[in-house]
Amino acid sequence: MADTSRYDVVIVGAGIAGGIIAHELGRAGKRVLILDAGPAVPTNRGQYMENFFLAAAKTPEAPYPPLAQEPGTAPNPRPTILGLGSWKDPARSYLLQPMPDPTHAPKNLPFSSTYERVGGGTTWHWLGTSLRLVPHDLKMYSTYKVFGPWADWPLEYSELQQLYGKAEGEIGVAASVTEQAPLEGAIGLTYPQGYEYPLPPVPPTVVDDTFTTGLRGMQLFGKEVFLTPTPQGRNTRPYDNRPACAGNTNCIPICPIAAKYDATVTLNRALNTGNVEIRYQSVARKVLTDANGRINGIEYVAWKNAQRPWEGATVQTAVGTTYVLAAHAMENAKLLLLSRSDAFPRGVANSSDQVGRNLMDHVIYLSWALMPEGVYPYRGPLSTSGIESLRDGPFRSERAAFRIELGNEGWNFPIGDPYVTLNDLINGTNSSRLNPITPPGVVSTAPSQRLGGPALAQALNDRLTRQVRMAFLLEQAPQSGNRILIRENGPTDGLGIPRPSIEYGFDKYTLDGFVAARKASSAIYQQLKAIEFTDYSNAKDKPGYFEYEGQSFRFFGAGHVVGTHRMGSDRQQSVVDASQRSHDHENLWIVGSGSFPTVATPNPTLTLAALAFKTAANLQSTLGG
Amino acid sequence: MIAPASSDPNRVQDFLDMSAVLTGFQASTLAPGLDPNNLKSLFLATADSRAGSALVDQLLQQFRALKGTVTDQQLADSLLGVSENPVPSTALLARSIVKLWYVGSWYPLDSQSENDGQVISMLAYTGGLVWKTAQAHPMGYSELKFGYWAKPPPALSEFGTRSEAASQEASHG
Repeated sequence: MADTSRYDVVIVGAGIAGGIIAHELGRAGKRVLILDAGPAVPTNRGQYMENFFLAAAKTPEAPYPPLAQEPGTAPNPRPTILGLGSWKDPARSYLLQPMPDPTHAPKNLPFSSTYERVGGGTTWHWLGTSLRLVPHDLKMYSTYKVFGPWADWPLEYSELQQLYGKAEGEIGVAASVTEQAPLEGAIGLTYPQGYEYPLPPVPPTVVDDTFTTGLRGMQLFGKEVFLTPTPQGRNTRPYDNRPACAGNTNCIPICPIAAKYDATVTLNRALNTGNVEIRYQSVARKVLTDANGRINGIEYVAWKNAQRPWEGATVQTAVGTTYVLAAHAMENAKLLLLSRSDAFPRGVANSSDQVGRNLMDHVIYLSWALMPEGVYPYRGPLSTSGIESLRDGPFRSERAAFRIELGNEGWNFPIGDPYVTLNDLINGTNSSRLNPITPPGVVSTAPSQRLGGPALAQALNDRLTRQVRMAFLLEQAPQSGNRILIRENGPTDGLGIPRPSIEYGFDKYTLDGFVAARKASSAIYQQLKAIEFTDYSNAKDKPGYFEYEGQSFRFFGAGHVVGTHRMGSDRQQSVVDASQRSHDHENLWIVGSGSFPTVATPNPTLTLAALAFKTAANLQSTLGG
Repeated sequence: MIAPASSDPNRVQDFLDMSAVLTGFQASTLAPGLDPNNLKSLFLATADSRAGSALVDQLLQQFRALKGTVTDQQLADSLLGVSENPVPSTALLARSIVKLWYVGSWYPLDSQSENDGQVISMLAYTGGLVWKTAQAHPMGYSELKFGYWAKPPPALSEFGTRSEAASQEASHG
């Protein structure tokens, strides 16, 4: 059934990139249609909050539909943390993951990041971290001779700086240029003269202050180690009709009060222009092309029933003058690969054969420790500061750099506290190693206690108030063999659309970054006189476990998925140009973090939002008027 | 799932007093004078329906028999069977009641894992005591104001715990 309405722009995906482009074009008077796979954005977040409160496992996906972990039957399934726990089972895991290497070599690893397929996209459970790239991040080949010439971004930093200003205004980033100033000397971060962030900075936590004081004078890898307040997309005063942050310590999975920016904010702005229409429950399954290679439609399945997706579902076509794929980096690549035809046997926009390849993430080395005295975590936003000074340096010619995110949520991420320590102290077990306090490598002769009454409250207080953790976000090398692909006759979603298969592993550049991260982590805890508890030796059956140079590691995904439709000036080696316009199809733009040629170390949302403004301008000039 | 509230006021009061001893928190923290959330009745009904009211009554009977004869810490230790092997079923029930108050989830009596809990209700989660032991607030439920995190929190006792001295006084007084 063809839809006879014709739009100036058809956008697939109602996340931050699609939202920005829709808003920019809608307010310029263009007619915009957005297709989104998920159900309508709820009128308030009460239902999502209830889902969160009642979930036994408070994973990032917990608030969002579909709640069941049944990717084969849902119309909008996605990778989840619970699904990752069953990564070998396609009935539970949306991604079709490689089977692990029996020797625990760092290959055939499960891709470990998750995303959402609802209006507002994954910004529902983003942390809000809004770091800028630094100049060397754009020029990894020119600067460090790594990853081949096509790994340079086809963009100049001065242009990106201007775009960052727009993105920071859209998100409402809280930070201070003065507080960021030490990073100019450390990693080359500069701002245009006179620039200031839209909101004042977030006050540091007691955890932050303790690290700032304790790290004074410390050096690693020939660089000074110091904490920097993180620019973040959360309100520090009422802004944009949303309240100031109340420190719910719950940015992931969900901010209860919308003090944290999410893309529904931008989506509402877009819809309020009166020129933007959205169709929810509309899953794109093929990009259609005409004889000249122009895109002439998006074929999608409009579903009605989340439990029985095919019941009442219809196949439709959305038609416009131009098309923007603004789904998740994984879903954009999936859709392009699914759009194979006789004219385009590798799929749409894929003459380079780069679609789906160079799949990267920030892979996390996670460490945790007990401070000598109370630092009172489980308070404030989940993270308010980080060590940014190690994000760039000559070592990047040899191994991955990293930023260090300092957590405010104790050992919630590392071991699942407060639940684990609580159960240990009541049951007389010691999964936490805090009953009794037994760091890795230490053999305790004291038995685990079983506590109740005031002794339980006191012991928990002692353990929980001293917990700290650091997450090292490592850049990953672009590798052609790390990719998503579509297998013939593989498992599908509930609408019969094939799901992404993964091929994934780490090279030496990335692995040597893990070794450096472990070294830095232990040195920092020593400097702070903290007792370190990081230990992966008994995580052999967990997703992400691997061994390197005789050491046990486990990595986590940061949800920063990039590279699957990378930008470049060489059309043989890249999918889109600097405006995220397809090299192959003149009326197609493919946007989001999938366009990044390299992952660098900052969380990607701010940069992909900045690039969306560039795309919107490019589209507008193409459409004219 | 919300279990029906238990109706016998004396039994509810004993359950509350026992819960205070088991958790190390004051009864007035568990059940403030004006108590619209009424977790005490919800949790008693939960224990009755999940573990059987006969076992709950057995535990309450142990509590009544020992109350006032030992310190509250000793009473908690006795009810929880902290040095008994194997752990009696009343003590396993006492553990599940402590966990219910601490995180708002029911754990089966034989649970040895943090993954076995089932959240009873939104209010059960947001009323969890474990967050108070961290001198914090439930993740996702802050009633505090912007910037509170820049300073250390009030002392633990401000969160409604019973000190050993205070609990002795309460049990003998």
